[in-house]
Amino acid sequence: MRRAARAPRLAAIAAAVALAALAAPAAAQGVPSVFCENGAPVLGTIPLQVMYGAFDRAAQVYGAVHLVEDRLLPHLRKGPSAFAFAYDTAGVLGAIDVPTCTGQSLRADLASGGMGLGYRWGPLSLYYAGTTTWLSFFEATMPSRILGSNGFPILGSLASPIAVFLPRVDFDEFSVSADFIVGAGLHLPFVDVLAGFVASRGLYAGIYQGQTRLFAGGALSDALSRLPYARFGVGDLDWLYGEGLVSVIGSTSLYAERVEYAALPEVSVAREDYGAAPAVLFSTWQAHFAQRRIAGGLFDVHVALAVSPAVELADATLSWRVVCLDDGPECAVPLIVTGGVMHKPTTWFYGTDGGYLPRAELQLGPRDVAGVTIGLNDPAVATTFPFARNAVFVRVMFSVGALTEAPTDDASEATPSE
Amino acid sequence: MRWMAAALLLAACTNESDRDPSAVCDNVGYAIASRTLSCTGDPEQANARYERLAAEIPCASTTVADLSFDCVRAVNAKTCSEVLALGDDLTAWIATSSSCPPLFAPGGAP
Repeated sequence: MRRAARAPRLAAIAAAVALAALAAPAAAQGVPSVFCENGAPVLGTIPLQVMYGAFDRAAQVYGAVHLVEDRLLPHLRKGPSAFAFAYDTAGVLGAIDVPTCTGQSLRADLASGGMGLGYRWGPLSLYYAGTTTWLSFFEATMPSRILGSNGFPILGSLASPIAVFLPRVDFDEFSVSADFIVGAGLHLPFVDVLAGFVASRGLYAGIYQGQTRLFAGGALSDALSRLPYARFGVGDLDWLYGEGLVSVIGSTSLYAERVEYAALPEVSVAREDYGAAPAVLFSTWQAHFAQRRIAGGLFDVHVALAVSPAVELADATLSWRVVCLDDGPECAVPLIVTGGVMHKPTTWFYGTDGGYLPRAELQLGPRDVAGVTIGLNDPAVATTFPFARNAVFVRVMFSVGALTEAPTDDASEATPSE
Repeated sequence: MRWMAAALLLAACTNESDRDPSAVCDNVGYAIASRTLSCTGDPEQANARYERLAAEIPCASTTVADLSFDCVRAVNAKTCSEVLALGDDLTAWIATSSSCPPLFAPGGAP
């Protein structure tokens, strides 16, 4: 296997990608070569086209916005002078099964994520998050794939500002798309307002009310003609229950979410034109209910109901904090086990079946702070890449932030939103 | 020792495997469903055409050769006027390219 010998070079190739992209953009933008002798994917199959379509058009927005909403802003809301830094990567192993020219099937890996940082001066904050998405057809061993799928996005995110000029780079055995969001926040006593620019031609806006935990956010794409992502609701109702009740029943989140998945199963469109071609859209609205920190933090429950295009149970999980691996009163290093089901719509036109899939996660570290998660069937991944069902994912995240000066009044608001 | 054996097994596991010859028939069905969705905008009709193909027309492919995917490419290249004319007639879909009938004819292979 000629390709197997290349696996040890993954790290070196990954490190070179940013430089290569900067140095030779014209060559890098070419159509992937047909390299059947190397065992590459057969071009023109539906799974491969759908993967490229989603890869080009959908994955970027969610990654960058997610980093800002869920990782940076909770820290920036803490007080009038604060900073935040976060990275979040997820590798989906075997996200797509494509036929290769040598008569075999190759399960390609998908890696996405990146890094972000923000700083707040009084009522004003600035934030930036750079993400990359990687599609890898390397034949490699499992440890190499796990390492690569969580390392590539970090390396790539350093070069993400080039996304304005070069949104995607194709090499023989992998493709990389880069994206970033840059924006500003206005933090007033009763409301936080955010606006940002997403390099993949989208605008982002969000609003958060600290006392009630009401929030809303969304992204507009394709010359403001698409709403690929929107979320609104109430992030945390602990203020309604009171401390005594919260320690028993936990805190409630209720929100609605829209995700639009854009694929492109059109063989007549050349790979380099995917970004500009009309896409087949598949959108869904979901209502979410989450009860966190039940019984003093032992359990979490999350239920999502799809309301469009059909009403059905989309996702239901129960998380159990099995043990604290530290002796502190706050349980800084919990081991959390999650089980449940998720529903995937039938989409044979994307090369995938549907039905209820098992969900399982083993998470080391506190939610939204730092940790490693190994899991099966992540709804967020399955929504964006519907063919990534029954694929194992490995997620590594770290988020840190603090006040740089002690607050002088009670304007601080520390509770993260959902 | 068992943990070590499991770790070695995991390390040796790669992401490439032998392909089932019937995968090409599945991909023809995906292409029919995909073109149906693109041209009609009806996901239920698109899914139904795939499911009818899988249920009613047995796959006879015995090859994993790259050439067998010519049928997939041919179906996927249908224009919307062709897609609308072919409609629900799956036999007609298969008959429109010489690379397709051998995949579905008894014992046939390209």
